[in-house]
Amino acid sequence: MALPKFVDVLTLAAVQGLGLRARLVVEGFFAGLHRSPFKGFSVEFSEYRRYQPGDDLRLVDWRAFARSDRYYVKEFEEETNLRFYLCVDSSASMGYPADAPFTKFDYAATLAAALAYLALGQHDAVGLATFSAGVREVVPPRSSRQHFRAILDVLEKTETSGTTDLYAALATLAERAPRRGLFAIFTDLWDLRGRVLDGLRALRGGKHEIILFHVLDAAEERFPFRDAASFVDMESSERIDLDSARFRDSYVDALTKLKRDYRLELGAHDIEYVPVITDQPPAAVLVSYLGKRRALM
Amino acid sequence: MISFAHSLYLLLLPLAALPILLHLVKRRVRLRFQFPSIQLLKTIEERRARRRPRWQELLLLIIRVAVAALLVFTLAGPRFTPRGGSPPRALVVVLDNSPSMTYAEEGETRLARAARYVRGLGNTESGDDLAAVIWTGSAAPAEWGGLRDSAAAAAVPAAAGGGVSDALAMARELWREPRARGRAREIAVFTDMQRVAFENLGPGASYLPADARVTFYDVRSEATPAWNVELAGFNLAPAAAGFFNLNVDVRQYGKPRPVSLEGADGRVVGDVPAAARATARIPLPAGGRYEFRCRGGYPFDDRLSVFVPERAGVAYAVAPATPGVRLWEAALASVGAEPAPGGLKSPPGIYVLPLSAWRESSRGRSFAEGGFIVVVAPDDERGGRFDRDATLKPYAAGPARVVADAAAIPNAASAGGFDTAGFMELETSAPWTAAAVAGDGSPFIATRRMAEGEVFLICAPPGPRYANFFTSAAFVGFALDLKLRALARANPDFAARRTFATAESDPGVIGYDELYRLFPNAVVTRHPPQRPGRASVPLRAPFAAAALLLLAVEAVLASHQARAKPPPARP
Repeated sequence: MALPKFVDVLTLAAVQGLGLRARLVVEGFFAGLHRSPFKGFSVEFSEYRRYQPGDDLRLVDWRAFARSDRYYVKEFEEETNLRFYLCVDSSASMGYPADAPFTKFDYAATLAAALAYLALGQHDAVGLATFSAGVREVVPPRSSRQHFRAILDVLEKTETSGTTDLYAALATLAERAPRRGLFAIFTDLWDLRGRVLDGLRALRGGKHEIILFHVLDAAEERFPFRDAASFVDMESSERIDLDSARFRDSYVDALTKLKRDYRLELGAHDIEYVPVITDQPPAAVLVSYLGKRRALM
Repeated sequence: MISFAHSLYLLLLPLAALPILLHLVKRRVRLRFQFPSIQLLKTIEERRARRRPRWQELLLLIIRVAVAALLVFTLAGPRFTPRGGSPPRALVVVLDNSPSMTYAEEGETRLARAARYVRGLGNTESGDDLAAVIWTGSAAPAEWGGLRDSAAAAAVPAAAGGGVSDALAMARELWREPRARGRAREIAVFTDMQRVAFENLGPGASYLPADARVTFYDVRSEATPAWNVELAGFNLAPAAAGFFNLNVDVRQYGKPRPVSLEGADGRVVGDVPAAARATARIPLPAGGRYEFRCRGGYPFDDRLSVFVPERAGVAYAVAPATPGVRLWEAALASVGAEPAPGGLKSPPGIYVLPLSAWRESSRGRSFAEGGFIVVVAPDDERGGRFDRDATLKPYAAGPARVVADAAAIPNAASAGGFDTAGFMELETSAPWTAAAVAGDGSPFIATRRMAEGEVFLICAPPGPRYANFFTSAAFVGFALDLKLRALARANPDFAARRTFATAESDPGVIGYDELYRLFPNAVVTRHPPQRPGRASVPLRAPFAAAALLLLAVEAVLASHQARAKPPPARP
């Protein structure tokens, strides 16, 4: 069976031996890797034991008492899956380069699929959301391996279009994810900076951990144009005429400053900021990021 | 001054704007790229829009324009002509070698003088000039050659005179030749102004290209008047009580000039307004000396003296015992001449000395009653010097011009007689010629050049007919003419003024004013040509070198800029 488009074999091979550890405590805890702050609250039944004075009466299984006339208390798996939300920006700007086989969205989707595979391998519940001016597609978090296929389907079917409104999208997602989780957001951040930060703050207000992958194309990063040219905004169709060669240094400086500002501001809100350039191998990005994260843990 | 040998190439000069055009087109025709978001670009562009363009780009543009312009200039063959220098010329020399040019004046023929003048034209050392000689008496086609040969050939007179118009047509043909293009067109016509050479020329005709520089060199002797001032009317008639009535009409190019007459004390005794036919009858006391002033006009800036005789026909110069030289001494003494080394020196002016005393002092021998000697000392303002040994020879030439009483003139054989053998007739205006040619007792005029100055012997027979001869318009006009010639000799610039045409009344001679009407841009002069200054310097090589140098600088700058640019955008 052919592997889905987004699953980069090399990427998956590179990250399979690595564990994804959440830096912050989340609701779930899986296989000793994730400690839950909510003991006794589980979604999976484990066993019965005889009631002992002091036990919470709410945990008494009254049906078992009816059958056996004995008091049994239900015990559940004291473990909860990590709720891992993958949010991929599918605005028009993520379709850059438009005439290339591997766009920024493709790159982001590859990274997202790899992380989903990893997380599902750890029995974490993985969900997916695509967004542009708002939330477009949502796949609720599940921990089954079959769920991986559903995530891939959505990613494959998504076409980049529309403008970016990170605040609208993230605020909506924050409402839809009441329980704490880990959000991995893949976006090029081409939105008003204030709205970007507002959206992230809204999400952060729900106690979610956030990792923001700032995905930029190599051309965006280095601005390699040399001639006078017209640049057309892929989202607004607005046009600007520039002498590229004269413009390059200023652009690179401004972009560097923008990324530095994002790093500082997001860091202040405990949001991890991971700049990614699409000419870097996705596997290398994940290995680098997860290795760094493991060291922090 | 920069000139161009092939100025047609300058039409390519707009190509120098090509780099600017390309620059603008390059700016206008842009590649079109889709870009994820231009929000960052916009903020930077707004900031950058306030900045000036990079100096390297401007410098490159300037260099490219300069290179293109220099290449065009190089093609056009630039030359630098220093101040006073001459650009490369296509010089056509027209030599009038008609028979009249063989006439000898002042020791050389007019043709020889023309040849001498032609030698002064050349700047053949540099080899830049093209020169061709056209003889009006030859129908042979002219060719471009050197001036030296032409100067030698100029000495050959033609059997019959040709026309200037034919020569001008040949000049036009020569200038049409490719090798003559891009050169300054000059034509120099050496002629004695005989009208016959200028036949077939009519006013308003386009004989020569508008840019051609035309100079007519009048090769006649400078003794010939060279300006167009005429005394249209003059009469000094005796009036009652020892006064004379002066009637004067001075004209230049036919226009009346205002004239005033001043006495010896500087007091104006009369004015003649500048109006056509304006005359003024001014009573003048006899025996005084007066000076004309032409107000605001030329050439009367200098003073012109007129001596009003005490009384016509009355002797007051006493002839000494020895006639001849001593007669001169006595005559000059009467006008204030003083002894000078080798002779006498007279003050400047024109003096009319009655010679009626001759009869009394020459042992009873009678000269012409009413004869006069006019002493003119006009060479400069210092006066003339007359050699003591210069004696007047008997007049013996020109049978048609023999005076009626020639027999009465004592010759050299007589003791201290009046020898007029060396006299020659004065070529002057028609009224004088007419007066002189009369052979039956009419007045005559004869002249002899002395060491410095000239002596004119003017005779008029006695009798009522010529009682006022020396105060007549004809005589005073002649005197004015002599004075003007003296001024011209003293001041070459005076004669060089092209606004003064000759006052030729000889219908066989073309006037300067007529030439100016035919060739409004021409120069007519009696002066020999000035040797041209330094030749022009060709600048083609420096221009080409400068273009190459700039091209190299451009290449260096362009490569530097290319290195500074990032690689082309990914497709």
